[in-house]
Amino acid sequence: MQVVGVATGGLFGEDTTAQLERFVAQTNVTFPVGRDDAGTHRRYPTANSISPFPLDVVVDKLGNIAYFNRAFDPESMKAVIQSLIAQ
Amino acid sequence: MLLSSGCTEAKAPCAGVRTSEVAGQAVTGADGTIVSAQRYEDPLVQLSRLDGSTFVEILEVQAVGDRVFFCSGVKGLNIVDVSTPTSMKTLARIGSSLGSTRYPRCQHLAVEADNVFISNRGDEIQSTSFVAAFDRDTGAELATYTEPDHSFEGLAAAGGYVFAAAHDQGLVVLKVGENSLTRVGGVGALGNAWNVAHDGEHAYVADSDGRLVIVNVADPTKPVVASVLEIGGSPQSVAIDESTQTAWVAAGSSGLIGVSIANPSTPLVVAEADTPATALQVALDDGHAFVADWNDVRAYDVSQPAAVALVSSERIDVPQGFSRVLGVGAANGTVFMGEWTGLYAYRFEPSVTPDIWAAERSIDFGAVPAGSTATAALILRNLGQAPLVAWDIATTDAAFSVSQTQLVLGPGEADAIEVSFSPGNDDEQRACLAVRSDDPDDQPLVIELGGNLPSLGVGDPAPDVEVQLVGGGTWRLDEQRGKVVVMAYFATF
Repeated sequence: MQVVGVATGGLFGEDTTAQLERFVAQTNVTFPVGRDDAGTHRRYPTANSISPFPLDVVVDKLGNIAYFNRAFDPESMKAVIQSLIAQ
Repeated sequence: MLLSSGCTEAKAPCAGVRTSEVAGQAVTGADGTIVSAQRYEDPLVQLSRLDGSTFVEILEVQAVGDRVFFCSGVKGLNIVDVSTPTSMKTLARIGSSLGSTRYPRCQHLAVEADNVFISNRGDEIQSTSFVAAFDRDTGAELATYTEPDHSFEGLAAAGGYVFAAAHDQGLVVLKVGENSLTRVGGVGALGNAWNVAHDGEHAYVADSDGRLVIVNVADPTKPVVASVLEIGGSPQSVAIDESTQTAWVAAGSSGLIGVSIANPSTPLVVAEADTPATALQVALDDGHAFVADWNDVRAYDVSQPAAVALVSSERIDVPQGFSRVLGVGAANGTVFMGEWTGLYAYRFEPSVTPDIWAAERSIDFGAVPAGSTATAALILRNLGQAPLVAWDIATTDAAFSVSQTQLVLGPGEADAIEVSFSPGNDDEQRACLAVRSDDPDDQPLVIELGGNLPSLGVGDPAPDVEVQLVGGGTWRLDEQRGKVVVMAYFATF
């Protein structure tokens, strides 16, 4: 399984590399983190919410979307991941 | 899976079922017995929402007597009169001096005597990390403290000192003067010091690397580590219950963890209560712990730490569809929930009730051709301590159907119902699944349903993604074929 943190432009402009480096240092994130300058998060449905984040996307081994959620729901995500890994 | 703009749209067709009667409904359980739905009193009843709050990103809440203090990510420090919880009033909003006039940020706070202290870790809004002191009544700024290479996070205040968690710089101790904050001590190498509580002679540091670090601060100028306990998760907040000598830790993905601190040199984990999302802040009031768990607030009976029990969970019904609760405070039987868009007050009166919980609040069936059927399993769980009776499980559109219309779940039990989508055409379709039960506050539980939606959906090929990595290099999604990939989109604001 591959996990990646995808930073996007926030309310205040694009995240700069320096800000991301500080975020990674503060949170001790253990998986790769970087910037998506193309804004692919905008292609997913957006609920009538003030903030579109977080957005979690699970992609299966064939490159298809298996799950996405703008509400944090680790239990559901875990179930989907375990099912996909077993396939 | 969450659907496009579905929350408000999907609620409309469900509005009519909100007034249904509860008592007397009979349901046949799995073993053939007849079970009647009961009428329960809701342990958590909403009293009010603070007027004027629309986008406040509440990050931390402290309730002290008839005042609530909360940190907002974009509107600074807020002081609220809660002497009448049904009608909360903002007394002060302190923001103009917090660095960014447009989005003044306050991340953590502590209150002692006439002062309130706040911290900012330093980010894209306010590049400088600081600790600041204010007069709690007038809002006047008294002092600010910064230190090179220090990023300040959670705070505690006691005895004229401020104890500040400072990530890899450990714990910093500041002495509070009339108009000054002066560093008088510190201890480093505490992992990733994220937050801190103080009680007696000790500071209790939540190390987000999965540890609780207890520091002897009997002499604040010479703090000494008394013990380090591995507790797991990502500790975010600590609260001390002196009556049971227990430190309660909101430990992120590990939920609520109770640590006996009867002997601070040899602390012991005595309680673990898993939470569905991520436990961010814990507050104590009269033998109960209240946990801000991102999606909801959970109330636990912690009067006997070894037998911690969930009393209730509350998911705030908000116009934007789903709520996020990052902070919680409690005092005098009232719980103050820091929701993304505003502060809510709830009356808390513990009682034994059922508590329905769904693994998902929306189901996207993806692209389903006319004439075919797609199915999804919806897991329902009873988190409460009384049996749950659901007597009417139904959808608002015939294209969507459910495998069963009734359900009985004992305390802690879970079951899955099958939800199907059988479209008669290829048009976009949305509907609502309503589960009417004797849970006193989720009445009904509403699940959004959708299929053939125009934007990206489950089953669609993922778009190309190219990520410029911190530390150098490029990550591409199309190079991950053969692997299951999790992409966590976020922003650092």
